[in-house]
Amino acid sequence: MISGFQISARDIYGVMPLLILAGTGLVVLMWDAFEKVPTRIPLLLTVLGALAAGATGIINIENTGRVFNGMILNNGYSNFYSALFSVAVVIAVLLAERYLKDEEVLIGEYSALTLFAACGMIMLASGNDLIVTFLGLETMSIAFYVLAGLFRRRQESNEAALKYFLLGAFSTGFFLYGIALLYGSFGTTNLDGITAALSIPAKSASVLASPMFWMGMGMLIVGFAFKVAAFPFHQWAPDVYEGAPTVVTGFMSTAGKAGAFGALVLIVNIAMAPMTGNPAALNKMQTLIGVLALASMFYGNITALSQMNIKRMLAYSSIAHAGYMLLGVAAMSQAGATSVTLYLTVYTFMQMGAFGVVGLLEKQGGVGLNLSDYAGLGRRKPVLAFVMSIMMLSLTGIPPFGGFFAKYYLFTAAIQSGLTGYAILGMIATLISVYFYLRVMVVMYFRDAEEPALQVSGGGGIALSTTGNISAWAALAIATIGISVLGLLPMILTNLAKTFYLH
Amino acid sequence: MQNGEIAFYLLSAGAITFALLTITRKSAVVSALMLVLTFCFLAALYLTLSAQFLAVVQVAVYAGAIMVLVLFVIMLLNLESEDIHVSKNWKAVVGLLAAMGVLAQVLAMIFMSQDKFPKTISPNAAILGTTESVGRTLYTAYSFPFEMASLILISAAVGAVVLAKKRLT
Repeated sequence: MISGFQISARDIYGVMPLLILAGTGLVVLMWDAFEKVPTRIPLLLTVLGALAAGATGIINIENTGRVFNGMILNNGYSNFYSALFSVAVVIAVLLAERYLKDEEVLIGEYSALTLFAACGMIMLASGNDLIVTFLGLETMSIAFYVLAGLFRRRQESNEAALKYFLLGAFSTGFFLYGIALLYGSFGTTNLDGITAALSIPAKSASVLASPMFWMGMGMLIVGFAFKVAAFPFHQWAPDVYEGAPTVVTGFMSTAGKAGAFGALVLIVNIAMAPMTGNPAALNKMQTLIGVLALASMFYGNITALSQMNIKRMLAYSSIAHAGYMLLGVAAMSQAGATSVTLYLTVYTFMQMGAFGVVGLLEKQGGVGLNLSDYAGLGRRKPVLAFVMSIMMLSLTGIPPFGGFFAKYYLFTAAIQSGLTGYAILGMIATLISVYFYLRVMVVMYFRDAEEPALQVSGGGGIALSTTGNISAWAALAIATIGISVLGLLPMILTNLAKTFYLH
Repeated sequence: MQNGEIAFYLLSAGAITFALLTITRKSAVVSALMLVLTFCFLAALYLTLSAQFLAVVQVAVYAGAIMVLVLFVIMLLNLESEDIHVSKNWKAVVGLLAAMGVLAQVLAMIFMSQDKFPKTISPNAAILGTTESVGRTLYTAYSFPFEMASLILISAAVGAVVLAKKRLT
């Protein structure tokens, strides 16, 4: 019936990070429209806005409750993710400055779309209603479709945008149909409502026995699996990740995944937690997600072995990383939710760092992306090679970097939920990944460049210069510090995460 | 059979027929016009469920505004002269089989969940379907999603300008 809900100051304050990001996006757009000569101001505005949004998220991290009539979470979980996305925006924008200048793309447009995408991600990770989740997914995806096609003069970039757009629209259909069927099963789209319905034994038993629920859940997971590029729904990922501008690839393969997983964890690990009372249904759900997880891990890692283009290699390995995180979702526990959060945080830093280095070494027109171009890098660019090595070691999961503890917590959560077999297979998949990640280091340090291609800056190519490139170095520093701190002190995050789900 | 049921079967048969015609016609313009009719039948289906506002919006926005856009695009691209080439290789066969598989699953799901569907329309439905109550709900309980939809629109508008503007820098 007609509700008497009225918006209050508390509601507005509860979505502050999102409002700041959206507001910054609009200001940057307006600035861009009136700017005569390109300056650094849009970049500075974006960084300041994102930092303010992140700070608001951190300040509000102890909040509890819901705002906007139960539509939006305002608790540790949502505020932590808001801060994470804001940091991702900062890294993405800082990395992009020189890169976009080379390709003659205005930083303002890029920044505004990145900010809007981040708004979508915040909606995903704080959406307490499937309608908000859907809107968030669309906001994020539409910004990504455009960002993928930002290099209009490059054919691969256009192809990436079109491919992503068409397949993304298709997956949206699945996602919406899933929401409709879940609404049919529960009579509500609110996640609290779903938890309440599953907590009543009689209602829960009837819902979990109905094909409508499983069909809806299946469709919803297909929609998410597409967005995170999990195995049978990954076909778009390698082409899009390769064709999109490198900085965009870095942002969408990390923050984009984090947004989608933020919502999936809310739905599966938190809202559907009462399912643990029904072993048969729980088993079905764990198998459903677990099989997707294993397939993604093995497919991603095995295909990455044969990739010679570094962007493609990172794209295939990101399919594998989606698989690891799906294992945390399959655990269907709070421990699983925490481990996915930790993994996403670390993954955002390490993958964006890796793509940042790739972007810095890339020359105009997408040259310099092959593994052989990295030969001898250890001698020519020792600092960059060192940063890349840290990223590779962390992506493999070798201590003392963040990647190790992230994987450790994931597999522990899976074992605690009785998914021991899955966890063991996951570790085997990790071992496969050692080969192609360490190969990058071997090439950088132990192989000499056949031709000094990257060294000479002539013609259209611009070899990276360390001067005038402060923003990119700042971004790489944030990423490196992030994974080092989380590698040495993961308890900071895991202890914090314990308070996330109180309310 | 009740009157409501007869109306449902007639209207859905119409919607399905015109949807099939939409995807089988050679001429793009005819396809588009068939789509208009499909939307009209869907709008009529909404009416039988007492969702008056939705029915009117369906006709005004989909059958009206969006279809005009589609027709404009067809005319600008001048697709009429081109033969639409349909490939008949193994991919099409596999695709058809997969689509049929999904359709069978959905149908099986509907038949097996029949007890979950309400048998009668709620007596409140007629009040809920009015413009007033839809508007009230949108601006109160659903104010957040409603406002956030504008963020999607601006992203799309900015995106269209970024991708289509003439000057590259």
